[in-house]
Amino acid sequence: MREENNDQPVSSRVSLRRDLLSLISVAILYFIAVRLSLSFLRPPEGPAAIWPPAGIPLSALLIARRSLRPYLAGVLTGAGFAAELLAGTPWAVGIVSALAQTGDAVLSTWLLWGVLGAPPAFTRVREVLAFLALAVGLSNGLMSLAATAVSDLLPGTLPPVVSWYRRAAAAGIGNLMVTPFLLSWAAGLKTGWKTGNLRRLWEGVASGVGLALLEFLALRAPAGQEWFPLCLPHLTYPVLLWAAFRFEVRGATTALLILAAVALPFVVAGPVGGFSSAPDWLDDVIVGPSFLAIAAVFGLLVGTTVAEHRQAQREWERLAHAEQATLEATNDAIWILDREDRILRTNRAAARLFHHAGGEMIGHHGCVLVHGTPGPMPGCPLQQARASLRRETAEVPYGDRWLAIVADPILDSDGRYAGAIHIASDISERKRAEEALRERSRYIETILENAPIGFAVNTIHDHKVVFASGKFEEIYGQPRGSLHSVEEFFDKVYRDAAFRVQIRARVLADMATGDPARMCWEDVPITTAAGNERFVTAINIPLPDHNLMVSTVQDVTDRHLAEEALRRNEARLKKTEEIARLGSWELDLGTGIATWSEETYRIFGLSPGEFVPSYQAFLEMVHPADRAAVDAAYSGSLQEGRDQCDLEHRIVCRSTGEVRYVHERYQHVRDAAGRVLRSIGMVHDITEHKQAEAALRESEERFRRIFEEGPIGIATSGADFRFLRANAAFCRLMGRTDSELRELTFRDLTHPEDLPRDIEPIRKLLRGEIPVYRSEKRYVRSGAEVMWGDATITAVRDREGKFQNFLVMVEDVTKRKQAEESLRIYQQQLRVLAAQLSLSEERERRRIATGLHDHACQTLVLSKMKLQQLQRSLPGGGPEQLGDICAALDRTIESVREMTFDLSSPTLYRFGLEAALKELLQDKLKAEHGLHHVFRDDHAPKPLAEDVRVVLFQSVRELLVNVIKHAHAHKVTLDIARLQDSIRITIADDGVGFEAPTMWTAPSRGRGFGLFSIRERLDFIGGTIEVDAQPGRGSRFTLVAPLEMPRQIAGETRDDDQNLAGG
Amino acid sequence: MTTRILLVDDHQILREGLRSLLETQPDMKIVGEAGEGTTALQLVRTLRPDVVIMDVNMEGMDGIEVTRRIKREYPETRVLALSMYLRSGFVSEMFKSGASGYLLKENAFVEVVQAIRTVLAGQKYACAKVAGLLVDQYVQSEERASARTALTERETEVTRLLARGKSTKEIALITGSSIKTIDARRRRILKKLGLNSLAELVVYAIREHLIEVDDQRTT
Repeated sequence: MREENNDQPVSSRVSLRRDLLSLISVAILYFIAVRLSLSFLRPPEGPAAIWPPAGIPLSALLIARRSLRPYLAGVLTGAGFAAELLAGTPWAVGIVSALAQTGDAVLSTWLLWGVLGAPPAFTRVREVLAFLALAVGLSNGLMSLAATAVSDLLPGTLPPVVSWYRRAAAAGIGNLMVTPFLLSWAAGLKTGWKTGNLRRLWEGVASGVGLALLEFLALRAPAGQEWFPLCLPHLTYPVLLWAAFRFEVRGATTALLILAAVALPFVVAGPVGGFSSAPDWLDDVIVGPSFLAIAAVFGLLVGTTVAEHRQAQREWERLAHAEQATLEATNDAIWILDREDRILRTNRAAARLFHHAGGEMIGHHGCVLVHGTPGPMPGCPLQQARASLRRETAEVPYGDRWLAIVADPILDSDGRYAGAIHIASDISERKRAEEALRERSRYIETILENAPIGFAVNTIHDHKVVFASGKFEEIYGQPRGSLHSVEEFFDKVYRDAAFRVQIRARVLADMATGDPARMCWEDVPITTAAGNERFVTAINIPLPDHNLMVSTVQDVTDRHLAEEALRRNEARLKKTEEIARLGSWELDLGTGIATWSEETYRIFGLSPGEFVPSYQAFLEMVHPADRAAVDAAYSGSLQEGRDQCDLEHRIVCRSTGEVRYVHERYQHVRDAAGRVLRSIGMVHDITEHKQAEAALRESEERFRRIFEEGPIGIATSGADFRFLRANAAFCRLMGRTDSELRELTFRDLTHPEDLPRDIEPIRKLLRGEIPVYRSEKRYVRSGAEVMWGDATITAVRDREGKFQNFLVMVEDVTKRKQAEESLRIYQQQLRVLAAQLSLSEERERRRIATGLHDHACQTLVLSKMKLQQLQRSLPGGGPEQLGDICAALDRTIESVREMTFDLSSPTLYRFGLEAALKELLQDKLKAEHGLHHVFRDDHAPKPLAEDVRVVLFQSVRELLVNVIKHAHAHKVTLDIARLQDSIRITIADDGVGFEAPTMWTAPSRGRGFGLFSIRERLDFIGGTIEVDAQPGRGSRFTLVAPLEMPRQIAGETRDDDQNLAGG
Repeated sequence: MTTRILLVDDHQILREGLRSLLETQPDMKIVGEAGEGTTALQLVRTLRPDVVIMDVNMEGMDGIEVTRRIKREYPETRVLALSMYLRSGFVSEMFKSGASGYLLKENAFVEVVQAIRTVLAGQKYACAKVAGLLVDQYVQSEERASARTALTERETEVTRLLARGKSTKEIALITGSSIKTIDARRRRILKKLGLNSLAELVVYAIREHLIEVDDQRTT
């Protein structure tokens, strides 16, 4: 048992109680065992040996803690003595027996602890042998001898020899059977049970039952067959063997105890007279205990051997497992090879690497498997190791990988080659990394070589040039690899000796300080090998730990030249500032020093450099009214952290006292910590601008007044047509307030009859298709009053052309409209009158014509007739004058007849328009003017109202007269046709033509008035006239007039006709 | 055998003048006088005159209409128009309504007897000025007719078919010519006749009796 640490205060009380309980329980157990053994012992003495209590004290002492052992020994002695006394043993003998038992146990414990260093667990043969020798043999023998010797001195005891031997046998068997049982079971409690297998349990049950059956048969054996019971004890061996193999010592001792317990009743009853045919005492003393002892030793040895064997096997397995685990723990492929290079062991890494299952590789030649060659490859480290008997390594490509091979020879005790360990590591990653590294260094080299900055490295102590990039030498214009030392460098680069000495001294002095700030030399002039002047900036980085100095050099010629150009530009800027009236200034807040550009001075009315600028001086020049505001703005921007500020203020010119407006704009420059270092600003003279602004404001004001107070109504409305704003005039015109208008759109204001024609143009306006829309329309004022307005609507758009709003301007034109309306009515009336006039003129003409015909003509004809009668009645025809009068009468009749037709053609009334026109052309124009004509008539019925007929005839006649008088035409074509419900008359001539549009616009001229009048008259009867004429191309007049519809023919026209005819 | 004459004129003085003129002729007898158309018709029915001297222009029913009615009832009655009007419209209408002669009133004294005798003989009579008018008219109609005859036989045929409402395609099929030919011909016809449209061509065809029209109304 392992020593426990007793110093644990927390558990002390618990362990004390446990200790007490274990003491009491061991004592009680031991008392019962001794009591039973003594009760067996007394009448039949032999069987006592097979119920031995002796193992209990030994087991208890071996298991118990060292500190508990004295108490245990005491308790055990007491319990043994009590049992002896109760069994009737004389007290002296009882004491001796009890002491002997306890002494045996204490001595055995001491010996065993001393030899084994631990309580035996009976897992090794050595433990069993030590136990047998020390506990069962030596200690037990000694104590039994001592107890017997003492007992012999006492009266009434057994014979000494028999007593000693028996006592020793009983105690020895007790130790032999009970102690291993208890100890192995106790060890089992500690290490855990490995039983519990149901199959094993059944095996045990079957063995027990089989044994019981055999016993039963043996007891039932026929009389005289005494050999049979004698064989019976031997039947216990198979059970013992089974238990030992199955459960090692624990099983063997348990089986033995059970067998002994089963045998006990038979022994006590003694039906067979003991175990053998030997004499009773022998049977009692030697045979029975000997048998049990042999069985116990046998069981112990077998069980222990089995346990030891198993232990060894487990150990071996554990080791083999650990070894394999070691092999597997590495990612390297490992082969352990024998003398012939056959693989003995390998690991999973090898399987992965070589694509062979681990098991497949065992027993094969590695080279065959991997290289596919029967023999080893040339240069194989394995072969080298075989020859050199030392570790050999190589890096070989394998497929797309790289492997590092290590071959370690295994030598036998004679130092000869006995095999090898072949380890292959996948180093592809490392190889790749190396390649990448090489690539990177090439890359860096390329950069160094191609960078615009030249690099050079030299040693600090002896000034040797270690490295100089191509650029470095290129910048200095030196041939490649020509610089070997710092001295040489100075010699070659600075040819001018004086300057060389100077710059060398400066550089070396700077370098000697070790101050990094002095390791930079800017804009140093150099001369290249080709003799070009250039400027470089060189920076040196000392690496004292490495005794190295890294120099970088950059060609800054361009920058240098640019800076010079910049300086020149500054002068130009100054001029520019002057022209733009834009000055700049800078105020260093740390020093309070202000810098002004020349123009700034001029703006302030000073000559440049005339005065030392400062913030305070500046403030003094600011117009007194603005001073506080300017100061507040500047100080405020500093405090509030605004970095930009714009303001306008006035200044008073110091020299002239003139007030000028300036626009200041400045910005603060901060350091990394955010403190303002300085302010940079510009000042722009905006006096002229201000004046222009004032003028603009004035004009805006004027416009505003026009908008607000002007007589024209102006309003704006949005894309939804809702009015946004309206001036007073607009409100007044609409009879609504501004707020009322905001709820309305133009639809609400426009007269419903005028609305439809407005909608589309306004949409077009919105879409930007037309720029402006003008509409004269009626507005409905509040109270349904109608107002005529001349509205001009435009869409206001921004610079991108996006619609902003409508601008509506309305002028009240109601009065003009009313005037126009009455004018129109007058014109209408006038036209009717004119037409009526022409008709009544025609009526009058006709009346005159009829009068001429009916009276003048008839009278003339009659006169002629009378004259001729007279002439005839006179002899010789009367005087010649009569004939002359007749001729005069004829001419008069002729002219009156023609006049009649000219005034009003009877043909028109009798035969209609076509006949009248045809007659006009044929009998009149041709006969009188020799005008050629073509007359066409489609002969379709063309019923015409009287007035229409008259107007058309008059019009055509006038046009034809025009053709003759003005157009100087030779030929005219008259075409009459019916078109649906109207008549169309076309007059085309080949005359000089005229400018058509002028005909209508100049009604005051003679000819024009004719056309104008014709149009007016045609208009009155619902007809039209179209003129198609061009100078030199003749003219063509087309007259269209409505036909009279059948219903009308029946009524009015006839009456009219008759009226006219009668008039 | 005495010629029975009816005088129709709305001017009484003229009737009287004529009566005195004609009464000098032994073989002529004024059987009646009428101042307007209706009376004239009644007198014609009762008196059955051989010759009616008819004024053209009268109130109410005028000479043209009265002549037409007389000639309808008594075709054998001769009507001699006596008028102040020297206009082709009146002259031709008078002749169309059945008058046998047309005499200007101023020439009546000299020519009326001769005129009566001429018409009684079944011939037409026109005084010199009226005859001139008629000749002009004739010449003009001849000009128009010549326009028609100016059309070739083929063109006339095409005109006829066009006027009947046949399409160019149909005409091509009927005449066995190509559509293009017919189209060209149609254009030539219109140009020749100075016409602008097919409708005018139809009118021309009707007027020139190239096609028959069953119902030809006039105004």
